[in-house]
Amino acid sequence: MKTSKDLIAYNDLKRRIIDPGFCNLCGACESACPIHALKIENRRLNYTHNCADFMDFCSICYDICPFTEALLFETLGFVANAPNRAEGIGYYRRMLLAQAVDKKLRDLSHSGGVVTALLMHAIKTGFIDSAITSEREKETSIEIRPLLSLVPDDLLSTVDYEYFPSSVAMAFGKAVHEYGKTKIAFVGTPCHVRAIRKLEAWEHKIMNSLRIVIGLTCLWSFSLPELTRFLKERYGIEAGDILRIDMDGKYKVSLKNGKVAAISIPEIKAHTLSICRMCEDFTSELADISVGGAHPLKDWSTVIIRTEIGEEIFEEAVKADVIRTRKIEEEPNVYAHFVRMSFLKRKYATEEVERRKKHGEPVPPISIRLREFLPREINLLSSLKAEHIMTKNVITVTPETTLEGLLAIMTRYHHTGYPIVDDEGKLLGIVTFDDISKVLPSKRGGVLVREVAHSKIVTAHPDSSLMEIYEKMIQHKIGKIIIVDRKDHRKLLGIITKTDIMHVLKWPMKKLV
Amino acid sequence: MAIIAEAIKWLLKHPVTIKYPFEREAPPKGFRGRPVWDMHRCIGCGLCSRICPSGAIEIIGRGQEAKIKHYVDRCLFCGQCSESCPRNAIKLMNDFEHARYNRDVMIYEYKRET
Repeated sequence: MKTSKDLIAYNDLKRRIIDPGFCNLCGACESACPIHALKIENRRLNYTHNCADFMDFCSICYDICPFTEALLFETLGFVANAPNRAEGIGYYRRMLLAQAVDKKLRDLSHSGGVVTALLMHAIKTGFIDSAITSEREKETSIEIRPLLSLVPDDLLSTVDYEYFPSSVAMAFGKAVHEYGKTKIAFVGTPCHVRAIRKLEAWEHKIMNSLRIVIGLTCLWSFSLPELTRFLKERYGIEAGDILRIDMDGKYKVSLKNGKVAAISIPEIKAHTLSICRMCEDFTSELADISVGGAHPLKDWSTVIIRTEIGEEIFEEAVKADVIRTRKIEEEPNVYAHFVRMSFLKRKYATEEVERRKKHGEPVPPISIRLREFLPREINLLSSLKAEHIMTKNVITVTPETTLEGLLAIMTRYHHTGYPIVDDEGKLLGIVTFDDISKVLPSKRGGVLVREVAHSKIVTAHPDSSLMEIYEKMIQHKIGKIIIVDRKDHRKLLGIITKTDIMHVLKWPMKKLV
Repeated sequence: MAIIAEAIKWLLKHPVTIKYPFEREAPPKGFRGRPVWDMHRCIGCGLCSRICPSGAIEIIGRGQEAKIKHYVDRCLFCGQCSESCPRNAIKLMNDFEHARYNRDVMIYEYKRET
């Protein structure tokens, strides 16, 4: 006889994710649960029968929830062999602009129509046999539901993604169990991608059928009932009248009668899902390919290719003349906007987590895990020195560089902070992405780096331990620390970013060799 | 008449059966033989034991320390255990000669090695 039912992972899931309202209805737990005890119905997660009756020990639902701390570092393994790594973008192979050659697709979607073009081409060539995306409900036009596309034309109904909860991970389970598909492409927001990657890291049986994961960039998803109520009360907009919602600096709600209502970000942010306000991932850092808008360009999308399979499918589409590409270096403003959004999301998330901690409100386990290390990790970080992992070939700028020139450098190398060094190699300060974004784009040509840079910099020495450095980063709320010589404080030796430290946690040995 | 002609035709050919213990044929693809547990993948959820129609699988302990006892004499090789396993920890082997004189030796035990 079972005496305690607290052993079951579902209780933890309920206590830490469902009850505080962090569930985003991705449905990964439904597709993973071996006894189908969880089911998403009527926009909530239902517990259909007590799984403790069947099993004594099973941790799947808690482990694979995208907002729990389990398997978090394991999921990074899917993208971590990429050659580049940058703050706000994640691990990647290359970053570029792309658009669908077919003009019809571009007109249907907001931006480049890249995801649709990629998937349609992949289905035609047999690279995948089905794709999981989201389509809009016919009646309300903003509510979305997951769709399993079997033929290329199905995908046409899914263009123009709207940011509302969609149970795509549940649809993945259905595609495997009910349709018997074996080469599936998955499209989702960062949290959906994380759920799928967690399932993969858990080595769940259904993941043998996964072919490629395409991630969308996402600022926040809206809570549907709250947003429709807000729009109705504040702007008198009925949900049925909404044609689409755009995001470029402001949220623009386009109506069917041609009118557009512009709503500022702070105002609409209150109606997003509470979990989204604490999410730090803007670019789907775990996907094979990430695709996002390319504001201010209209017809293009920003594409980040992270893995080999992502490269393969993308190259094939380019060769078949389905997608055409451009270098992102040609459009520094697109890059600047993209990274600014990424940082904005991270900044809001950090603020929200801190606010919640202060008020004693619940915080999802993933946010705690990203901020607090385990004892063994602290041991590891304390035993490693800065010189072991620092980047030695630092790209520097001179104080006389214009901000435009700096942005061009950033767009080329994708780092977000550069030490300023004079002709004699003396370290003068640091200039970061934030400093650029404070200056209006039109004025960037005339402003020099030394006018905006910080001369007060946080530095460490090559023999400082990583834990020390990490604590400094937290204390000063910065993402990178410059390593200087112990004797000569103006001699630049290297640089360490927060992502470097995270990377070491997962692969301590690789870096040391 | 036709049947006699057929009989004579077959008399001159090789038999379609094989002399089993001396001659063996490889099992076909998808053959369901004895299930084998990979305990490094097993999470000890006990689903295989729950689903087994003939009660041939016994699970002792919890989670990582779980021990699996498989009674081959009860097993009917339906493959449900392998089908239900969420993590592909159970593979069906190709062997089929399980008969012994003693039932005690027909129990296979699996335990996670540390």
